[in-house]
Amino acid sequence: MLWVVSVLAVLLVLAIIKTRDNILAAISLTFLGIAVAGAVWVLQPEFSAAFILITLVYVVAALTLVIVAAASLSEGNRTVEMRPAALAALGALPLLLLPGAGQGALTASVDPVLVPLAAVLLLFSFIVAARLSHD
Amino acid sequence: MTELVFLVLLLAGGVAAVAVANSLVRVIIGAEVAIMAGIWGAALSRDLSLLAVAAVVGVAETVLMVAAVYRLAREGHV
Repeated sequence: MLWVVSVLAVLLVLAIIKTRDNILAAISLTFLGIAVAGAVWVLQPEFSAAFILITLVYVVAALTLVIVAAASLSEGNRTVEMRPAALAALGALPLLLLPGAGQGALTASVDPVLVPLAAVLLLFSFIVAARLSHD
Repeated sequence: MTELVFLVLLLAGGVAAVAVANSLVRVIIGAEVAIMAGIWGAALSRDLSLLAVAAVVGVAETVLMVAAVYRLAREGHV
């Protein structure tokens, strides 16, 4: 079952890479978010609350991206050279081969302490974003 | 095994999207794909708290990146 999601994810990533249109890429990103949320659901059905959470959150985030992409459509043809940074990030992939701690116990409930902390982090980032974009 | 393949796929896909990006919006989209790899990795830990933290951090960071690109676009740098 996870293979289906993997193939779908490959297709969506290829679509993001191949398309020249920022809006199409952002829409592909939305569907990739839904695919990852579905993969979480397939992996752990106990996390079905997380499916809804991740889907909603990423649809909203990617729609914001669509708006920004539409707002900056008049960009010039100056290219961004990110290849060295991307290759450096790729160099970290072998770290995945390090042995992990193994499978822990399944915890299907959220620690309530996290809720105010997450709220404060989101509030902070929204305030910073508002000040960044409206000064 | 498939879980690890999916993780590597998301990471490599995001990095590839960043590598071929020709605008900052594309860099953000590639970074988002890599963030999804982070969320998937948190799901592999079988801990819903960690998954929630990964999702919240992903959103906060997306908001900040988008705001930064918006500011750059307004000042004519994009």
